[in-house]
Amino acid sequence: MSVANYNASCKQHSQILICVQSHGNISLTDFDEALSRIKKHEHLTVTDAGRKINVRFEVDVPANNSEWGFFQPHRRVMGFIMIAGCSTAMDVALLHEVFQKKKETLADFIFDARCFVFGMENSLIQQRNAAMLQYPDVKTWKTCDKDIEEFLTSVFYVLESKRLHIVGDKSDKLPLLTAPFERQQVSSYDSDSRSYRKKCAGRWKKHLADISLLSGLTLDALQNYHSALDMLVSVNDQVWVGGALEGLCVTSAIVWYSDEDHNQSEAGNPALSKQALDPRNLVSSKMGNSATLAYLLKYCIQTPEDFVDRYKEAVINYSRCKHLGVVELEACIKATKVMAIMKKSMEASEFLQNAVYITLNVTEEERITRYSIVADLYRAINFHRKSAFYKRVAAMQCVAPNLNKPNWQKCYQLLQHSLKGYHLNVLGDENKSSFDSELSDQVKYGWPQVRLRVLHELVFSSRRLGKNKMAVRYMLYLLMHMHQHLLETEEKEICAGLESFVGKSTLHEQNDSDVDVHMLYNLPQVLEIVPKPLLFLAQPTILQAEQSTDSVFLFTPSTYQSLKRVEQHIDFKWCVNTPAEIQLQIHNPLHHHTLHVSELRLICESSSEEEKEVDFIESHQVSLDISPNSTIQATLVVVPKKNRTIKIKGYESVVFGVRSQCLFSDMNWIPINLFEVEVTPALPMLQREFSNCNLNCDENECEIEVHFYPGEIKTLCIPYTNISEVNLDEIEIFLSQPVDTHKHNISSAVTTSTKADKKCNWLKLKFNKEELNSQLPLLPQKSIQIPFQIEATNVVTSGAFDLKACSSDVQIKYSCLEAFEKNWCRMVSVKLVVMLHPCLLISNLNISSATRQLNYITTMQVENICDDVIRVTSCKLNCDNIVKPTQLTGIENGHIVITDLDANDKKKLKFQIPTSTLCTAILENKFDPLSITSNISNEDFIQDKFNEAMSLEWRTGSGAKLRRGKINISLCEFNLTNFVNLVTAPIYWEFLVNDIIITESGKCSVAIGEPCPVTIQLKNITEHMISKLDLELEIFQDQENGFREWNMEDCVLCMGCQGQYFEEVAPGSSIDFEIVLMFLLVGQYNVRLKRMSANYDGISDKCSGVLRRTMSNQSNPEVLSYREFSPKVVFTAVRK
Amino acid sequence: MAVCIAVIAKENYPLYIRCSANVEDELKFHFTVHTSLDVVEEKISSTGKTSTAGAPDMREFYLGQLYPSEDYRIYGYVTNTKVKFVMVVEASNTQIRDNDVRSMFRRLHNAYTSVVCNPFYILGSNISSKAFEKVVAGMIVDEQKKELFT
Repeated sequence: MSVANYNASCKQHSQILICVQSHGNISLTDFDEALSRIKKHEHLTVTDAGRKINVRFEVDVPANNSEWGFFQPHRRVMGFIMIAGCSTAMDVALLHEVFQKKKETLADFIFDARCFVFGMENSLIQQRNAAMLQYPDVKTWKTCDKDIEEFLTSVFYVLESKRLHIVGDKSDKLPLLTAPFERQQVSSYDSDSRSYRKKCAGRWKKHLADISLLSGLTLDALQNYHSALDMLVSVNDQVWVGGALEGLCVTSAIVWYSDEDHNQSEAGNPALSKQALDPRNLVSSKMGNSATLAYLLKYCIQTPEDFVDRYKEAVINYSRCKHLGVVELEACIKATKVMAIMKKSMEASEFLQNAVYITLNVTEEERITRYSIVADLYRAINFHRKSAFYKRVAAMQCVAPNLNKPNWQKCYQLLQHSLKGYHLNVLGDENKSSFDSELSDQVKYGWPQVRLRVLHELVFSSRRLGKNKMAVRYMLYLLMHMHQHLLETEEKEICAGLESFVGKSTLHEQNDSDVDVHMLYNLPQVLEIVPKPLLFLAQPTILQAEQSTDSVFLFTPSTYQSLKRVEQHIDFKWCVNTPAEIQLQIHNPLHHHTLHVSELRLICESSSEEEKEVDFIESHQVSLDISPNSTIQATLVVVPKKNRTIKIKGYESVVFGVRSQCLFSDMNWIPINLFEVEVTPALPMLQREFSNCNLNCDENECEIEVHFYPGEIKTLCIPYTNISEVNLDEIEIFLSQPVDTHKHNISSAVTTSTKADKKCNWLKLKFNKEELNSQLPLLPQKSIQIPFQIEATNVVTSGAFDLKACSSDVQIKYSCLEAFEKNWCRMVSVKLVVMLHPCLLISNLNISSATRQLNYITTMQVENICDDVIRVTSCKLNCDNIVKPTQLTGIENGHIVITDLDANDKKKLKFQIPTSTLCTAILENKFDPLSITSNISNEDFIQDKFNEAMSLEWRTGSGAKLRRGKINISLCEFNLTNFVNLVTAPIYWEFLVNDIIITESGKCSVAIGEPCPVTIQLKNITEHMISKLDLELEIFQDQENGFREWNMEDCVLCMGCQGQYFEEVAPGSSIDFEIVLMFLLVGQYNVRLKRMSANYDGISDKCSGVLRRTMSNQSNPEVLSYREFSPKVVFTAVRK
Repeated sequence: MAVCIAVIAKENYPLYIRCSANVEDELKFHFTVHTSLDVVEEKISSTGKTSTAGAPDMREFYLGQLYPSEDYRIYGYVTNTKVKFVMVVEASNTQIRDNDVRSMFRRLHNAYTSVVCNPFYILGSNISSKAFEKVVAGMIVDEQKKELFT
């Protein structure tokens, strides 16, 4: 026997072998169909005999196997079926001959034969022979079941009769049963010896047991095996002892596992075989009732260990004979199969190991089958690595160099089967949960050298077969998972191979609908993903902060935390139609190859419920090259198209012509695996026009620098263009409180020292809302002017200063209607930096009484410290007011031009201004001209009024470059004298000489020796009562050298009381101070009335002290106000 | 003595594998050691089952001969942490006894322990320690020396 049955199994011992053969022109499909119908009868119940028999149908059984029929009857062909196709009667006749011949050759073995002929037309069919049945068609073979059953029954009865014959044969002279190789030796045996007879009997017993098993008598078989063993062991008939032992083991296995055998196909399923913890639980219910079963089991081998030992013994016995190689091999295979069910992996592996080492003279084909079967068996006992090893060995055998026709296809298939053993999961079903955790560890780690080898072989064989797609797959796998183990040359080779396929595969497989989606997670590897917020200018912001009214508490940790959770890690928003960026860190793990990644783009998903919404985002794709072992940063651009939350789930790319989709959720080295970005509705977008102004612009902040002179008023227009596609419907402007900044370096950028941020009080910012709104809505590509009015007021200009800077943040929030409703807007932020330069310096401000009552004189020094010519004007003053400079330049725009100052020019200005300008204000404010004290507290107010009365302005330049501003003198330092002089005196004095008013001129000519009546009318021009008015007439001569002659007794006669006292003067009423003077000597006499009051209109002592001192210091008595003195009248006494 | 010595991690990937210098086909040993893991696993799982019933810590590290092949004998050893040592010995070498193999494994285990004790060694990475190399070389070189002498 040369041909081993690699599919040997225990149950074959209980199966009657029927050989099936095809003949004539019968189609393969017809033959297969007929065969499958025949094969349905593998189990047959012979009702007459009450037996259940098993049948095995085999196509083309090697003839010489039947010769082993005495040793192991299941190898013997006991029935023969020929399936033939014939169309004519002639063919049938020819077929009959062939059939008969065949029968003759098999005559030694077969008990019965049948020939089924198909293809004959109904009319031509002549059923001549019971052994030769004719049918028109396989499909119309209605009597199939009956035919086969009849045939099998006939075979069974022949077998049964043989069995009965053996059982009944009690003769001593039995011939010796021999295995084919023993025939020659028979003659050498001593046929008369006792041992020979015992051997004969033993062998017959064994044979009987085999036949009993075949004919369905398991119990008989067991009993006979036992008795055969007893006999044969005693005569040391090794081969047949082996046979009997195997028979016993096999029968026991059949008894135990016949159910398992039925489910042979499922035997490989570990989940199912796990139930078989105790083999004895699996005893078939078909074996009849439990009583007979128990009886049966008594004869069986009891424990798995025993089974292993017995089987081992059998194999050892076989191995002693070199002719029994095939039997030994098959025994090993059978034993392994049973042990796989028993979970005796170690023992099974020993049997298998043995099977591998049995040397047989076999063909290449068989060798491959053998290795392949060994591999399958190893898998059955969970030795996956061994299994893989033998698969690979088998694969290598397929393409061994000594073969004429290497079978690459088979090699490839076998190699593919071996992948599982190396825990290689090339075909990418990693997500399927077929691997438990321990196994997936092995998938991850594996044995690099071994894996590399197998993968290289797979690549090679798939390329040989032209399976480029698969080759690409394997190569990608190598690059992805094994690149750290690859040599430089290998890596280069693989990359080159892949690149060469790129062109081909796109050509060939473009139409392939099921182009697999690879997941090249580390080719290249994305290390980091950072969604970027929009540029500051484009960022959507919330128009009005929402007030959370959920809680009565302003702050609770719980709401704070819950808010935080909602925020996630992305606290910015994207906006419809505005390109947004995502930065990826991409690493090329390869050591020697530059990766070309193309069509890299993001995979996004909309939060919307509608599935398959496609146009919610526009994902731009990029291509890039990553040099070996390096990391680059790539920026991907997406343009959201709809107002909803976008989920960024992964990315897509094409590498080596292979499209791959990678999800962040599968990339465990990335901490965040889903990015959700909210998208706001489309918003308009303003862009500054860079036309004028001094700009310091960077990405986030825009700074406008404006230069000012003190008091200057300017309108600043910032032009913007709507560069979006959306109308701008709403605009809001927020101005912050200006803040003082220090300019350290005037020429370069402004550095704002945060420490010294003080509120600035000299800058006024305004914007005109109406003017702004009149420009809305702003259509796309249109411009808008945002006007600001800036005024530098309240700047002290008395002292020199270098430069002042002040800044204010202006926020312009704008939106369109749609977004406005949802509370979204965009914001432009401008920082206005106002630089204040000194221009006019006003010093020495002095206010004194004028020669005329109800007026005062203002003097000041004006210095131009800037480089331009500055003109000082006033809108309130007129020519009469201006005392100095005398040269007037005229009137300009209703402003009187006071003076022009050249650069660094210095001029003294003098004005005479009626106090009435202040009066109105004073009255309004219930100003008490009597009480200086109360007025002092109103100092600021009065200063303001004074400033207003002056209304000085400066202007410089002309035309477009005209700059103008107010001069604020209210902040100049006022001393008390100035202050007192500013305020209208409570009494209006009127000087009458000879009833002629001379107050205005202050001069009077009289003759000596003539009486001159002088009346001084005092009018209370306040609203208050003046009380205790003590008056005294003063007459003196001014020598105009700083000396006054007060002793006038010799020169002037006063007729009447020189001092008078009035208790009170009602508001608005007048009193007369009357006196008659007679001048005795020629000369000039100064006459005036003096108020003798103890205090200064109720001024406090302290204050009055100051006042008096200052007054006494004044050399010019005219400066004294009309508060204390009447206007002086100069009498010129002349001779008549 | 030994022809090939391998240290295999818990996850069944090689931490260290070294073959005798006069071996031509190193890959063969990779396959041999790799396939022997099946047996190692089988042995671990079977002893594991029994240990749950009895004393759990009394497991023997030395697994004995894993399987015989025509040219080699393969021995296995498993530490508590499931790190496996596999040693391939030529079948023709009859001088070597089971006890010798056992003591060799013990030495190997000690060497491995000192490798792991090195704070700079990252668990699960390939072993590149010179001291370990020396120990292994000692076990393999012996054979070559013997060949030189004979």
